[in-house]
Amino acid sequence: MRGRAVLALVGLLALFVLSGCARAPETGLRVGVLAPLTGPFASQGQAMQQSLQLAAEEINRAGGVLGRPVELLFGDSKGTADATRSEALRLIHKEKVNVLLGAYLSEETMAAAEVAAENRVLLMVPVAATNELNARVANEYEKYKYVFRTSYNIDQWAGLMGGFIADMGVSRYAFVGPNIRWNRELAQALRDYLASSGIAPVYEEFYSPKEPALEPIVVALKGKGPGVVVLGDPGQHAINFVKKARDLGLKAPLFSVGGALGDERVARTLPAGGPLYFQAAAWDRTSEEARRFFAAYRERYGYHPVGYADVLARDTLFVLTQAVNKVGSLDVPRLIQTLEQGEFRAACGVYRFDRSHQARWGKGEGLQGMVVEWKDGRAEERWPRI
Amino acid sequence: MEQELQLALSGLLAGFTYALVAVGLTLVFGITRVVNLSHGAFFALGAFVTCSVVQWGGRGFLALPLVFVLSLLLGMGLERWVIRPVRRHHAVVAIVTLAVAIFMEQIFQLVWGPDYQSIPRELPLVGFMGTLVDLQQIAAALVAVVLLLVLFGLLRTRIGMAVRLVAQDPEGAALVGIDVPRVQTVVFGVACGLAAVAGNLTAFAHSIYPAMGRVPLVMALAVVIFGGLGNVHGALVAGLILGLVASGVSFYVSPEWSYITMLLVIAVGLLTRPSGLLGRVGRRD
Amino acid sequence: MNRAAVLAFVLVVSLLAVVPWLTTDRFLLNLLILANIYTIYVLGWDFLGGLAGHSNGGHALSFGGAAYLSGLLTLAGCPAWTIPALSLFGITLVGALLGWLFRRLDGAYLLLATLAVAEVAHELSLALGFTTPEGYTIGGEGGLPVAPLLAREADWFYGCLFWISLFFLALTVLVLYWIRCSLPGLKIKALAQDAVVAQTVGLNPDRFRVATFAAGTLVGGLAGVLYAQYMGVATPSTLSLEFSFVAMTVSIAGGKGTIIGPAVLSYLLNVLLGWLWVAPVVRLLLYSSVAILAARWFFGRGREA
Repeated sequence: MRGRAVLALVGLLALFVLSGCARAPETGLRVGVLAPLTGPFASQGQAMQQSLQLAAEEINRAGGVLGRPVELLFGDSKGTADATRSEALRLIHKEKVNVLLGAYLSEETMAAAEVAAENRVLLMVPVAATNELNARVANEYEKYKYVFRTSYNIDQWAGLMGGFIADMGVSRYAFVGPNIRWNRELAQALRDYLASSGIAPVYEEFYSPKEPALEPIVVALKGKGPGVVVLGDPGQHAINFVKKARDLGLKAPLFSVGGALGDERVARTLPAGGPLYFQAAAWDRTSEEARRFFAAYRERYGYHPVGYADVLARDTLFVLTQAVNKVGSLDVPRLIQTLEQGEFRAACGVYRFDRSHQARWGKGEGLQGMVVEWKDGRAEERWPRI
Repeated sequence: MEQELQLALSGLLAGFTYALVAVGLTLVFGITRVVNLSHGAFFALGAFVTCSVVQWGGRGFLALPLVFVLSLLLGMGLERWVIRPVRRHHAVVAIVTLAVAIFMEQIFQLVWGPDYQSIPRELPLVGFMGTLVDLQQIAAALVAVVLLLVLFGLLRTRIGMAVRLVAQDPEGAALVGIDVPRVQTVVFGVACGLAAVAGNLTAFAHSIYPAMGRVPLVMALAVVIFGGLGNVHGALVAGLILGLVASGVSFYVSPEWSYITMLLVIAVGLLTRPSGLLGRVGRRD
Repeated sequence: MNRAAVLAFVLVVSLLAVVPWLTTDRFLLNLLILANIYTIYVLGWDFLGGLAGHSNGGHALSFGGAAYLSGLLTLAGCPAWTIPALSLFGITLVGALLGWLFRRLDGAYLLLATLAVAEVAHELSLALGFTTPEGYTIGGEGGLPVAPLLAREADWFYGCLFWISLFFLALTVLVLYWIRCSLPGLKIKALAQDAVVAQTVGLNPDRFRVATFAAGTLVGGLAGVLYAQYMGVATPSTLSLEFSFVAMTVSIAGGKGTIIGPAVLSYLLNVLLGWLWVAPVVRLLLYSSVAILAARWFFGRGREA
């Protein structure tokens, strides 16, 4: 038994070594997508996959990239850094992709950035808000210059949400989110942003992401009387929180960072009892391109996308392909230069990257996001006002 | 005072949920010495089926018998064809039930999709002595209690005695003509049914998604072990204690610490009582 | 130890050692490095849970804990060359402490207690952030960077890390297998089977408990330190419950306590599952079905009515 196992191992190894050479790639753009297709974040990974497939079809209908179709190859990042690394390496060395796109979680994205830097391959990051990604680009430019992020970082997120809160005319707010580092940072950034408007938090609490006890939080909030409650959780506990809050009679407006609470199928089942808002990267009113994308998504998959990982992934692919078409080749240094200096129009608006390769979101920039309210199960855009 | 009452109530009701999920697990262990790691997946199955029934226009409560029977049959099939052949090897059983859980999660993802789903509540909350009482949660707890009472009652009948004999002395039970394998299969199915019922009863309160059974499984395991393996009363007490601890810590200290405190309570509790709160079973493989 | 087994072992290790000279394919080398590391990790559980019989529900703590210690020491500014050894030492102490603390617990109770400790560590790893001298925060879900001993940019980085991890894997297999077949192994097994009887022949269960916990944690920690050096980061997923479960299931499926079986199985699984690309959901369905069928095939004594 043991001998056979050893022989099998030896045979397999020989097979791997011999099959080390992959096929020669065709021209056109091969994009390696890293997303969590299984594991606890599979719903976001699938949303990214669905959006990207739609986006690729649209791009190819309009002529493709460098006259040839864009091809998407998917890798499952599974929510861990090492799986992301292995998949990124597989996509680069076996599948011979030209560019990487992804991932979702911070730990995945940092691992992808390492692989991209190592192999001098462009990495476009459509989500993941961690600040250190761009800090690395800024501090170690030569190594990490291949990484670009299209989504908003923590400070920008705070600005997008803070702008709406300041507009609401409240003087006090509360922040509730899962006890994860980026959420704490978001709370801090929001506090700093709103301080200049004289708006202060009366309650800031973080619950365990595994097994939260949400009712005591709601009970505490009822006693504090905030003008709005910010929900930092893009996941399932936000849904639970809204249910508990409205059930227990908390009437204050709830303002979610987006994600799960941007899903209309969920919103329809939530109890009424107070206004419910959420932040999105874009909604129908943001641009004609956005409206068309959302309509196409609804037609293909049966529901309106939540307006975060989905539309941002789509836009990232569009920015990338526009850059490649502008340069006229897949030459990486020229692509980097074009991305750094150029402007790219997509569903969420006009993308411009700063010196740390972060897209510019916020007031006065080409990307503003959208705050949406759920009113009787229907989404209504609220801010920025027209 | 109102706040304290509200908190105590929410803590107890949360604890009841833990206990409900845990009872099936501890029952299975007591009768068959099997740790069923697919227990959480049955909890999720109950929630998903309920979700579908509600989305097709039915009532969540009416889905309960369907959910129970479906899981009972599935569980019995699982015991008979997947677990029984390997039951002698405790460790292999654990792996097999874990594989079943993974399999079921993937089926959920294929059939219902990976996104979070939600169903609305069917019974309202009412004010009572300054606190808000969740009628649906009370109803859920009542159903749970009734089921448990029925279970305890059954255990006192002749059938129940047969079951208890199988738990204590399988060889002896076989000698007096009890069909031991069948008893074990039925008990396993009932336990899976209970888990699914717990999923049905709590489906309105939170979001429903393929991996939703994982945390309840861990909590149920913790409750079962903490309360004493094989001890149903222990599971109930342990569940309620942990529910109250979570609620209390979340309010009086900080919500960040509720899960960690529960874990520490378990670790420290085991240090002082190495066989669980009410544990009678000693060493176990 | 029979001669055939030794020969087979030497053959396999030699063949593996040759790989970096045959190819510089980073994908393949990455796969093999991770296979080496994860196999060491599984062996840690196999020793503690399999051979010594102490079900450890939180083995991820030894792995992720060592990785995080490396990260914390990096943050504290320790010289890079001291970090692996210090991390290993630190996590072994933690293991010994846990062994002593939980010495009265057995079976499922020990499993739960160790699980609880690992879960606390996991929660903390997600929650705690640190501000770097440059002014941005790290930690939490992004993990902690680890100062590398070898320059990651160097061409020979992959090759070197492969040889280092292979060396430690071979060492671990040899040492643990030797222990299993020798007098200390016999004592450990005796205590695992019946501590009361073992005590009558003079074995001290408490001391052995601490020693085996320390050893199991040391091995798991070795894997963690190698991982931290290879990946350059300590991430929360290395402390997760799923990761603890992986060690248990692979060890049990490979033959609890046999050392060789789990080593071979872990290696094969890592390489095969990493190499073959199957659509994600299908992959998991396949994997779980195979596990169920294989269990029936190998262990089913089919006394079906």
